[in-house]
Amino acid sequence: MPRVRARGVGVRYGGRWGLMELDLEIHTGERVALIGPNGSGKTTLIRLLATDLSPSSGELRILGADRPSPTLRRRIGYARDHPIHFEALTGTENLRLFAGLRGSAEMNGSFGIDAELDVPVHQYSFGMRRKLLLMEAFAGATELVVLDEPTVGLDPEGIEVLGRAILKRGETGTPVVFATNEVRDIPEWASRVLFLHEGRVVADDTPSGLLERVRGETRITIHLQDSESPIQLRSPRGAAVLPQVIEGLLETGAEIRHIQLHEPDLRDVFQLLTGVHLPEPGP
Amino acid sequence: MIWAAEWQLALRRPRLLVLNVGIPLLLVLPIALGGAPPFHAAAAYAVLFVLFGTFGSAIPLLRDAEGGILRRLLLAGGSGPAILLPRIVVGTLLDTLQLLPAALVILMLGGASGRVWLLLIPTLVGTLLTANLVGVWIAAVARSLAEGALFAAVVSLFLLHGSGVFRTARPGSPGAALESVLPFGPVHQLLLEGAGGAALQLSTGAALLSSCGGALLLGALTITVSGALIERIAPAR
Repeated sequence: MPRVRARGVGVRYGGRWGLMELDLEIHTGERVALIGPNGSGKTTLIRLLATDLSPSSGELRILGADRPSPTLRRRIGYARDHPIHFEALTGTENLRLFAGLRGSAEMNGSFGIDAELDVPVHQYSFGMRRKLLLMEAFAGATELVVLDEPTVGLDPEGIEVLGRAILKRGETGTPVVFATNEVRDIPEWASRVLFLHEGRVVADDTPSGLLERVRGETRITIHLQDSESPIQLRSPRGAAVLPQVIEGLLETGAEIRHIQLHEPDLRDVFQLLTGVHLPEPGP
Repeated sequence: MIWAAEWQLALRRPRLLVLNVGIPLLLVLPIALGGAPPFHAAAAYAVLFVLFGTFGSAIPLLRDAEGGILRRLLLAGGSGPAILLPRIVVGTLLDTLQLLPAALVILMLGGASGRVWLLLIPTLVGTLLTANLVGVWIAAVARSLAEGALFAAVVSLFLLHGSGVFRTARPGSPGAALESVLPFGPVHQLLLEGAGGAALQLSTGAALLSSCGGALLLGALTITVSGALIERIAPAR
């Protein structure tokens, strides 16, 4: 039985649909990455799964329940994009409170802020608040973990801990759904990727299945000394074509300033499928 | 969990605690020492005490709703009673402790009788519990801090007026009937006698029943529908 099942789900904001005709099943242990530009419906879907929104149309069942309740919410670990805490309480006190509401304060990964946990949250940086929020979401034995832009504000160590926490939860059978445009780590973290565009799911596949669509499409950008516009090439043989290309350019008398190689990633797949360039996530 | 957090939050704001003790004293002292007629003085005290309770409940709730922390508690699995009950109880106890010095000053300077002293704490707790509960309902209706402040002032003043704080209703009139069911009559009468005015019209039992019994009834209703109230106070945005 799926842990999440959506049939024809839509969410309307005033006169605009934030999400349309969503059909989706999420099963035990799946690690699902949601990818899409701003306004594509990622956060709307995350908020639906966290029971922060109710569908305007269609049928949605989360962990067998078709309506939000405190009991259902205690079974979901949720980290929204913006960290909100009791500022006067310490990290430990916030953890105890939010994890304790779910009946457990067992920690799963420290995200490297152990030393600061006894400090009031108003003294935390944005990154530390994000880490505390993620610790709260992963604490205890939740049956579904939902994360909105979990890598935002994290340092490399935090991103590594996050990846381990996602993989560990998947191994224990808990589905993890996370929205992100940080595509670099997705092939390792996610077992499934959903592309969202203009409120609809436009692709639903494994990371390798999606990357297969742009296999061999290494992009080569060559910047010449006397030219403002670089030369763009697509190579089915990766960098193997470079010696031949460089030789050809040198023979014409061109001076090469620098060469960039871009291995295809999920951003390229998204562009291929939607025609929309997915912006790099902010720092 | 939320009980502990509410106490910790209150104790970590010592400046606010001091202000909340000092400001009522600052307002009460000139009236008590200035020889104001007891009827007017008691009305001013009753307004102060009730507004303290309603504002002190509604405004922090609306502030926490706007800041998103209430929604977070809900989404973490907090139920209506689990979120609202600690706030109401801790808020009432804190309000009582913070207003107690001002109330003691009123009673001491007014030469209050033994019965007034006996009724002070239960009447104050009952009144402030009612005011805190009214604040929760106001927060559920208001959509901003400004609206909350406006509604808290208007509702409190109407309830005070209906409770006979600003007028003396003719016996047997609808106004007198209203006074007997509205919650702030006992505290007004207590403060009136405490300030050197007319003796309490209510018996000890009636005063306790009116102030505490009414508060408990309103409290039971509030907790029963607290799930719906907290969803209204902290809706999905």
